[in-house]
Amino acid sequence: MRKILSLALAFAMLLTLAAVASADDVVTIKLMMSNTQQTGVSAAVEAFNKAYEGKYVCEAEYLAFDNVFETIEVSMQQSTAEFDVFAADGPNIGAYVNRGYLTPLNDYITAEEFASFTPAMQDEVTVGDAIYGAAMGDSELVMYYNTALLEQAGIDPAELFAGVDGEHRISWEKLVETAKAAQAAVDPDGSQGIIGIEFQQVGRTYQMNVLANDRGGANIAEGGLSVDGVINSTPWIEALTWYQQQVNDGVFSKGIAAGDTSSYFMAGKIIFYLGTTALPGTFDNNGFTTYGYTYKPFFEGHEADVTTCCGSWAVGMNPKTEKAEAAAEFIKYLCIYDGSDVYINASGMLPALSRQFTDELIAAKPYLAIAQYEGANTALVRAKTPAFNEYSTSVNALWENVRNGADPAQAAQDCVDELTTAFLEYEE
Amino acid sequence: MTPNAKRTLGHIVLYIVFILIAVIALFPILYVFLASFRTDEEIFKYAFPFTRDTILPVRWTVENYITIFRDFGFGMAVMNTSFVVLVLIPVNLLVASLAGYAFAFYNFRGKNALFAVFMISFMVPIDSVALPLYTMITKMGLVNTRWALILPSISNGLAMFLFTQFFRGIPVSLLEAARIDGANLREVFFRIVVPLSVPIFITAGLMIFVNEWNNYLWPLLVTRSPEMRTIQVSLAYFKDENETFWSLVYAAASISTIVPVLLFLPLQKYFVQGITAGGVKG
Repeated sequence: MRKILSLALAFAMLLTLAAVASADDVVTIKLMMSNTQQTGVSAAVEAFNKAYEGKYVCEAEYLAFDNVFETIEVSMQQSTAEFDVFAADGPNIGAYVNRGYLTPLNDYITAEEFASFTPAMQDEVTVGDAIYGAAMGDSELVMYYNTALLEQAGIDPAELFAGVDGEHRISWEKLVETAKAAQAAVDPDGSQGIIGIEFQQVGRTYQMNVLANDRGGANIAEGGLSVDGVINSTPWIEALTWYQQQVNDGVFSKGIAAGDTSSYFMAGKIIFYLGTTALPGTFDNNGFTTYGYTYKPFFEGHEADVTTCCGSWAVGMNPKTEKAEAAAEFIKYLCIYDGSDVYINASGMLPALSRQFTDELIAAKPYLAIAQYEGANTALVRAKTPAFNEYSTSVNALWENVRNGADPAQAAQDCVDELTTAFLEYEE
Repeated sequence: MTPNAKRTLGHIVLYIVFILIAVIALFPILYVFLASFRTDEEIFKYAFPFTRDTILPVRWTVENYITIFRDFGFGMAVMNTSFVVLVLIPVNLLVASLAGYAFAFYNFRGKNALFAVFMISFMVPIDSVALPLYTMITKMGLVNTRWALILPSISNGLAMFLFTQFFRGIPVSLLEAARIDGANLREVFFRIVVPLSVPIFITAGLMIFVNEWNNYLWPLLVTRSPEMRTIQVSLAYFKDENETFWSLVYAAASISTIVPVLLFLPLQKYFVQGITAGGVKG
């Protein structure tokens, strides 16, 4: 009996050791991601763990959108390998590269694989000749409108936007005129606070800059460390002046924060609303259905300058990781191969890969046809600069100052002066 | 106008001013509390023009409270915060009161320098020491554990200062009498000093409670998983890139506010006593 027990015990120990040895072979990689991407990414992570069972395991932490940036700074400044892979918002990639937070992926992503991304998304993750991340998805600017409000104002959207496509858009000038007419009809004394036109991310460089871009203005000078002659140029001053005029006329809002605009739109307080392609998901979640969408406007006389903003989250690799192979495999799975399809289907994000714009996808989400056109023809990535944090802070303030009554030319010059000083730190 | 009428009029004006100040102070809290019982759509729909419906819910709902606990794990955040607070208050009070006792009744070499160090410790904002502290916690492997929330807050310089100041007001002869009667040091502290110092214990306890209950930066840095999040950190999760779920924020903020208020209301008289006693004696 004792012999049998001893044998059983030895066998059990052998099994345990084998299990431990087997578990040791599995490489665990840690991912830090924004919780705004949790739906799509968690589905892709689950698929990854299944596909690479016994080889790799990905453990993901989802942080609140506002906390992601602080956590990256703190964790990376301490040079820890707490995360092997992390969410890097597209425009921040230059800054992260400058601070040594990202490792080049050229050894892991082939030229052919990289070419599968749309041109704008290739541009967004490239610094010099090196690839520092892979885009999970993309975003595009679309103009939504409240059909109920337009109907109440006696304006037929079908008639208003008849014949509109990527080549033939409604102009900003006509849009303002229509918005004023609609406001006068639905809110004649202004007591209901109906807003004519609003950007989803009002006061933020991401979307507001298109007003200057639409007049031929650039976001930043070549090299990414100067805005002199850019932000204080004629297109910018004209755009800022035009915007201020519309705010003063009550067409654009004053005092509403970017985080609240979608709620105002869904509550029937905004007639024309320029926002990202991620918004229909939010509308669905809130049961909001009385909306339509079309191409964003252009400025008369600047038909060739029409621009849309784009970009989204990318995934980058921590230079301190000791699991580079596994991390690279995960990045490719999530952004290029099967995981990307899982992510796009589950998240409703705009694809960053050209192959994903299928007829089925467009049929299921017709607004993506607009996004696909814009992505291929009008998309402009945000200012590529290692000082993007300083850039966005300063340019956000410029738009807000002008919204609140500052002299556009003076405010633009102040912004240029501020950024010129800030950029000095980055000059070699 | 008679002097009595003048006095009455003065009182009326004074009360009107007081009521006005109270309304201004309480309005945001009242708005948050009432808005926690309405939907986001309703909040924005009735934002303009400013009417009764801007403040009072048109359709009352407790769905926000259900949602934050069911879908956002707010219960776990409340439990984590409560756990941290319940551990830190007694530990902190013990450490701070013993340190205060030593500073108040004993003379030793370097006492003043050490006291100055303690004083400086509560004057330096947490923001400035957060990064080195984070490095230390990372090296100890404590990130994303409750230890990371508790260890750095085990001693509180301000509480120690308050205890020292309060204890200095207790006559030394009282302690000497106890020693003559045969009490050892522990008995002197727990049987003589502590019962005499209830207001300062309550004051320091409330201060520690409020500090930890509202602590945001440090828990943000050292917690990652939903199982470790505290109340203030979890408030950031009622938001995504496209919208802020204000009704949920208001519901969570209401709960976050009610607990300290319920503690302060019955204990406020001790709090004031403790602050004034600790602040002026020395």
